[in-house]
Amino acid sequence: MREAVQADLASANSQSATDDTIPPGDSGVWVFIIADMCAFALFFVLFAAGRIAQPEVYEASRQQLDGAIGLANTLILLTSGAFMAQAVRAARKGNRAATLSGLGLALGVGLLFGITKAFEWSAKLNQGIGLTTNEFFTYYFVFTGIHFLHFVVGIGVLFALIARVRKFDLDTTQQRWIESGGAYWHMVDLLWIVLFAMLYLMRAA
Amino acid sequence: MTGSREWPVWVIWAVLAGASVLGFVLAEGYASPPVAATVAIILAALKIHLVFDQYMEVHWGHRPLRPILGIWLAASTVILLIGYWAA
Repeated sequence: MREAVQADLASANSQSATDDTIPPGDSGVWVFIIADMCAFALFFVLFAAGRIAQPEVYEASRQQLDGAIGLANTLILLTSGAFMAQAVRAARKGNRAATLSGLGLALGVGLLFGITKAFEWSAKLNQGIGLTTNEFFTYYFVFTGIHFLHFVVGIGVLFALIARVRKFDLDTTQQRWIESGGAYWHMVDLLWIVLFAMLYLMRAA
Repeated sequence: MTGSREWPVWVIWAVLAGASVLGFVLAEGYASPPVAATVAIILAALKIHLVFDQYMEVHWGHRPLRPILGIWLAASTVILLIGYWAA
């Protein structure tokens, strides 16, 4: 059975290596990813318009954010994303142990993002800074909150992928699931890269 | 899937992490805020390009997906730059 699965994987990988027209994962996931990223692009427009209208408020508010925590969150998601990429590559080779360890480490490291985010939000709330403090912080809490919901879904996806890899043979169907989950998890990562630059790094002159 | 264009995962991670630290250091301490902010935004765009290409494994042959992602990245970068420079 396992030999048949390996042969199936080798055949599929040989085919996909020469077929550069089909992206990894399920096409439905990519439709969702594109739609979601377009929604975030609208958020970026709102933020840019607000910043142009009230540059002093946005800069004073930005200075109240802890850039080191933002950087830590970025590095956490990048590291988790690297483990996810390792898991995808291991799945293509039919290496079940490496796939499971990659997914497990992506999950474990990824969970740290939730801890640092909770710490950051609670620190802000303890300082009396909330959703209604000003427009910058409205966007800050709404955008990072929506991103956090995506993160929570991603954590659920990672749990589900680990369960599937444990339960089923690592065939092309499982490979496609892992590729789809990986694409979603990397989307969570790249949206944070934009949010980090937009909220923390745009220091006014 | 990616053939010879596939980089080792931890090389990609090192580039992404290094670019993140560089963007942060510039934004926090570089003498010229406009230069620092602009470089930080461009570094973010380059990081996302790398994530598309290496981690998400979406290549230019993947039509219309890759062009759409490319347009999204270009538009997002321009939006942030306008938001910064027009303020």
